[in-house]
Amino acid sequence: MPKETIVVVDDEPAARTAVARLLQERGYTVHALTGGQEAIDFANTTPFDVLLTDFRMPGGLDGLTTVRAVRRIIPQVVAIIMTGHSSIDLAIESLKLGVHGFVVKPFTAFELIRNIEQTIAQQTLSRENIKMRALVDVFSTTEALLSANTDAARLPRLTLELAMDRVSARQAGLLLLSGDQENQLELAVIAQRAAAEEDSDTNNLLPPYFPPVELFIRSNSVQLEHLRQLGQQVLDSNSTKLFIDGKEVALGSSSMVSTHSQVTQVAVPLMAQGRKVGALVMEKTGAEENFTEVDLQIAAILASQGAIAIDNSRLMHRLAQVEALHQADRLRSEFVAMVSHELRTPLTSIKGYATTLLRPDVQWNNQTGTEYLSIISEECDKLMQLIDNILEVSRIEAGALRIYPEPIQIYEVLDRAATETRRRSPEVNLEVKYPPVNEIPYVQGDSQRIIQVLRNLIQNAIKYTPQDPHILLELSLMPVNQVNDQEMVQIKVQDNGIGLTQENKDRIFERFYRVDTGSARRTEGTGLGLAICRGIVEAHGGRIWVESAGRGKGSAFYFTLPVADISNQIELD
Amino acid sequence: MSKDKTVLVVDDQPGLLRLVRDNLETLQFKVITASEGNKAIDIAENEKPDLVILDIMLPGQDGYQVCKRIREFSTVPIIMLTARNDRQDLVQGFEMGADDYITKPFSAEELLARVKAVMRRSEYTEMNRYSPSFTCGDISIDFVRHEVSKNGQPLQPGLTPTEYRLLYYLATNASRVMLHSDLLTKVWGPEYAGATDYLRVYIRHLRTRLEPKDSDPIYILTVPGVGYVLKCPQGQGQIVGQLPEEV
Repeated sequence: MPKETIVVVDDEPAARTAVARLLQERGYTVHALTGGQEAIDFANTTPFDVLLTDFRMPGGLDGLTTVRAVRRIIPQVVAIIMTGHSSIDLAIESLKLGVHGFVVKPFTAFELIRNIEQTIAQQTLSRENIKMRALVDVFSTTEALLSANTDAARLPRLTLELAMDRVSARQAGLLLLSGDQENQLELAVIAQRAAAEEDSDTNNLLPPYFPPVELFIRSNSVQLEHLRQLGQQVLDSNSTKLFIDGKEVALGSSSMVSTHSQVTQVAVPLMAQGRKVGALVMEKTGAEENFTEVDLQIAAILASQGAIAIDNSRLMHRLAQVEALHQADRLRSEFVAMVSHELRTPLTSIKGYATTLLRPDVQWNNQTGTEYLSIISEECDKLMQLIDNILEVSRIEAGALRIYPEPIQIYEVLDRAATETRRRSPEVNLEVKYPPVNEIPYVQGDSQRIIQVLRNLIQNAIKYTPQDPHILLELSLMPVNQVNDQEMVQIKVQDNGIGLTQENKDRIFERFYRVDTGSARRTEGTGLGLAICRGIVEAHGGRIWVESAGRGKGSAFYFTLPVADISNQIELD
Repeated sequence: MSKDKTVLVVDDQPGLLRLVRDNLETLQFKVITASEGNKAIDIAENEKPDLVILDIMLPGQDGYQVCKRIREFSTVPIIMLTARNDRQDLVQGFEMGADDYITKPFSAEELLARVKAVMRRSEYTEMNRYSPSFTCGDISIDFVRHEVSKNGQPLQPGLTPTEYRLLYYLATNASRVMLHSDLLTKVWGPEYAGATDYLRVYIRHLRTRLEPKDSDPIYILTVPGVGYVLKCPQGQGQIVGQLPEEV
């Protein structure tokens, strides 16, 4: 390993030369300087590893001041002071003030070399240690934060917050490869920080603020393009790059520490599992301390963590989409299978009874023959009904249900449904209740469809009330909805039938779901009626639901319909 | 043939129950109906029907499970009634021990033809003058009583009609490779000639009943891509005596 570069500062020429030569003989690169100010000027142009300075240098800057000044320029320099016996206490004190080691005059060559080497080793170790701990801390904090956050929208901002928290950059931007346009870096988040106070010693950085991305893009299109280019460069080469005034600078080279730079930028690629995700670009202006090696390492850690988190959340999102598609596909296959099964049921009766009648080996009597033919005819009707319902349900599923709503007198619709039911099933006790007619507003509805819903609900009520059916059809006005300001009416169809279990209530609006009454399943009805009712009610903008106290305690189906807004029609009257 | 024979029909649709019953009664079958699985299992146990026709899709119950439960105590021939034409479903039915299937919708002729075929395959024939017997290693077959024994002990419960029938054809052709299509045609019928997957299921059933270690068969051997053969130790596998006329 090449030996370090040492700057020796001593105002006493003899001592200076002796020490310099001593070190040169041992293979170190040495620069001998006469005083503190010279050392500072030198540090501004040329980086070096070790500063070996006399403690007392009357007539100029003393050793301690020199050390502190140089350390501000070259933070990682190892500083050793040469001190006489009388100043040992002060030398020890100076260890607290930025000096790493001291050597007491007079010293032998051996002592000097050993001291220098040990101090360098110590410093290197301690620096590594701090760096490691800092990095581990950054790693675990960011890992925890980023992995806990799968919200794809928040992750870029969070990553940038973490970066700005650890690195004193003036500006930082996170660019992401957009999903649709391959290889096009888009600015996801931009963070900026105001200039720090002049001589603030504190390590606390001012909090960053996040200007809205669209605004930034609009007013800084040149800068944005520049950021994009930097990002693209590091993505293509998959390596971190440092740019001073827009020109690339090799990492670790001496120009890294130039203070004449206007703008220093660090760009880090974001890669996850070999996939390109984006780039992180951080920026400092010349007045501040340059990016240190630690800064770069922290940036690298954040970039990789951020990349992994963002990539993961994208994958999860895609997975969810695929899952949803599979689910939709599964439901469709299920539907097709169910339909096929349901259609075969009436067909089995039709074909079965027809071929039975056609048997050449049997002579059926007239009565039986007539019975079979009636069954065939009924099953044909059921098949027709089933096909209609299936088509209706398909239309609802596809969002293609057509209703033609207009302002209607809803109580008339209820009356019509009741009359029809009384004619068809005179044994049923059906009651209709509604408020005084002049209090009932017009309802925005398709009366044909609403009758369809009522018919369905009433038929169900009759079907599932084995004895002495009592059905109540009731209209009530609802208070105005707080959220959307829409007035609704509510219609209830209540029966005193077999009631519903919790499972029934949860599933009753599903296609083909039929309530299992325990005894032989009734074959009338397709199991689609309520699914269709729901489609119609929801197409009107209403809701449908059911309540039941349980088995044997009857059920009540409710649905709501919107009140018509006829304010613009009143003038027509 | 059908005098005094009882058929149990299980389906949740009254229309279908009547259809099947009316048709079977014209052939002098006595018909018992059930619309629910547990009831069907009870009837199968108590009335001991000669044939069961079972709908696979029973509400709230798995028809396959009903089939499996019946198989636990009975070798009665079982015909599945299925609305699904899915190969997988049929294979599963055979796995559960069903002997054959009818898909809905079916014509009266299909129903009766299938019932007759299945009944015929499982019927006893008259006793023969001679008592033919067959030995193959641990296995022995009494062709008259349709009894199969392993290590001297009759199998309890016995083989189902289809299992027996398959073994019969392998045994009467012992040491000769039987083609898939040949076995399928003989055991089920010509329209099944291509249904190698059903055959595989039943070979598996047989191996489970007969082989000392069914994962490593020594009697019923597979000839890949060709068929199966019943292999017997030297000097065995001949049929002594005359076989009954029908299987």
